[in-house]
Amino acid sequence: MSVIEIKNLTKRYEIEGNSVVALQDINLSIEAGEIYGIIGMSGAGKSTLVRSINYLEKPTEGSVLIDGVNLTGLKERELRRMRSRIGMIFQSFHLLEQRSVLGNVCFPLELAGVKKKEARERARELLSMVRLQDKETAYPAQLSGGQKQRVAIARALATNPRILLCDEATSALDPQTTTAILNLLKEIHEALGITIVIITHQMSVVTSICDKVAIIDGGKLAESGRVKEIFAKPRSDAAKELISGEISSYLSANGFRHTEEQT
Amino acid sequence: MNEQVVMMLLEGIRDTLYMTIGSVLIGYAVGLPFGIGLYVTGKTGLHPQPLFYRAGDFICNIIRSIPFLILLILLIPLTRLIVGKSYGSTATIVPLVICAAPYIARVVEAALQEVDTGVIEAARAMGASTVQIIFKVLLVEARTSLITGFTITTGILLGYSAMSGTVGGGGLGDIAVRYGYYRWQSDIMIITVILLIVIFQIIQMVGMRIATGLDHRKRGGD
Ligand SMILES: Nc1ncnc2c1ncn2[C@@H]1O[C@H](COP(=O)(O)OP(=O)(O)O)[C@@H](O)[C@H]1O
Ligand SMILES: [Mg+2]
Repeated sequence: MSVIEIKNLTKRYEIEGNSVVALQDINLSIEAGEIYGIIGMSGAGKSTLVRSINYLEKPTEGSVLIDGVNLTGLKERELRRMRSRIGMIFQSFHLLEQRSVLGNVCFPLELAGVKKKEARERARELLSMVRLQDKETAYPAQLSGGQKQRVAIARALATNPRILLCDEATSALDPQTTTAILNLLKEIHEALGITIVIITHQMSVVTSICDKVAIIDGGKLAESGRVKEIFAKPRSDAAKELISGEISSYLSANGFRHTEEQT
Repeated sequence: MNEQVVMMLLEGIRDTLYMTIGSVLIGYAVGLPFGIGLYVTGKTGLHPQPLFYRAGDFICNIIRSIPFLILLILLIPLTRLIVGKSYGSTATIVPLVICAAPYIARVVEAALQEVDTGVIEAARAMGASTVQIIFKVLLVEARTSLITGFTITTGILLGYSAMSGTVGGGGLGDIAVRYGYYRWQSDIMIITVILLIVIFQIIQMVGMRIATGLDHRKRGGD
């Protein structure tokens, strides 16, 4: 049984009489313990897709199953309990600005009714896992982007979720920090065996950390499968474009030039 | 200055503070939930309810568009009904509250709207309920704006309570009107004005200190 199963998912937004199709008939299965990449251009529908996984966005058609449980049938309260078992991190971190680092990590535990002392102990464990144990009294405004994302990761893991959703988690970070955060995610994956879903528009993120990848193009699933296979033999135009973009950016970053630029 | 005048001024201060604090507290008891309601049911709120929002919005705008002095007179029957008389400090609290509550609701709504929607989304993703989002996210993250709003509202109510002195509201405004306007004793009027300014400054200073003291955004650690 897949940990996450998306079946015939369609999402339409109605804005002032116009209907925008953000996602169209998406089918996707993510297995336990995988690091699954979802890649696409800006506006492709990636965020909508990842927000459908924890039902922050309800599908217009189709269904999402977590551990075989169809989210469509859940009551609001059950849905909230399900959400508390799925961690999520974001591009702009979304930390509580008026809470200390420790307070932020305690927050989901507090929501779940965990006792204060117990929550603090658990939060400290997590902060040492993301190597921020010396920052527990700091406030988000005093942290760098990479540190903020570490706090967000600790916070997302506080309730011991089996799934971690990452929506462009490294897109606001510089290349070094991106690498550090990706390494941290890898480490966490190895230590906890957690299933990780990584949304990104950068192929380099996918190639450095993901086992499998789905390519979203204009709200549709263009292609999905093992990263190595897709990288070796892309079938869809969207995949080819993303890969060639990746290669040319790799080349230019390493001092090579495009052939057409040399003429 | 004789003892009688000093006593009168002290009583004036007491009545003014009584009216101001009383109307702020009752005003917030009504305006804070009202403002949260507006935020929650608004277009970008947690549970948009266009009908409810428009009704609240309408009531708010109507009351806020009536000048306070006119509201004071319009509400005399209601004040009599609630307090038993239409003059004096306690009676003045009624129109002050009715004038302040919609204003407070707006101030609260605006403060909550400043909270980053991403943070609310993150809380939802953690399984927070609407009530938890209101009390643990919105009111906490917006506290600087809420306290600043509270301070400004208190200052305005201090001014309005003085204004109500012209129709027998009691307090420093009452003294200023009686001595300055009817008896041409400008020395007493000037003292009351200075007292009002001093009280206003203290409110502002304390309020702003608390607001910035509780703000952890863009500040050194503590
Ligand atoms: N709440 C919304 N209301 C209306 N349209 C939306 C909303 N959220 C997303 N969309 C639209 O859906 C499409 C996909 O958006 P999104 O999932 O954010 O893309 P991505 O994350 O891949 O950049 C876009 O065309 C966007 O404008
Ligand atoms: Mg996005």
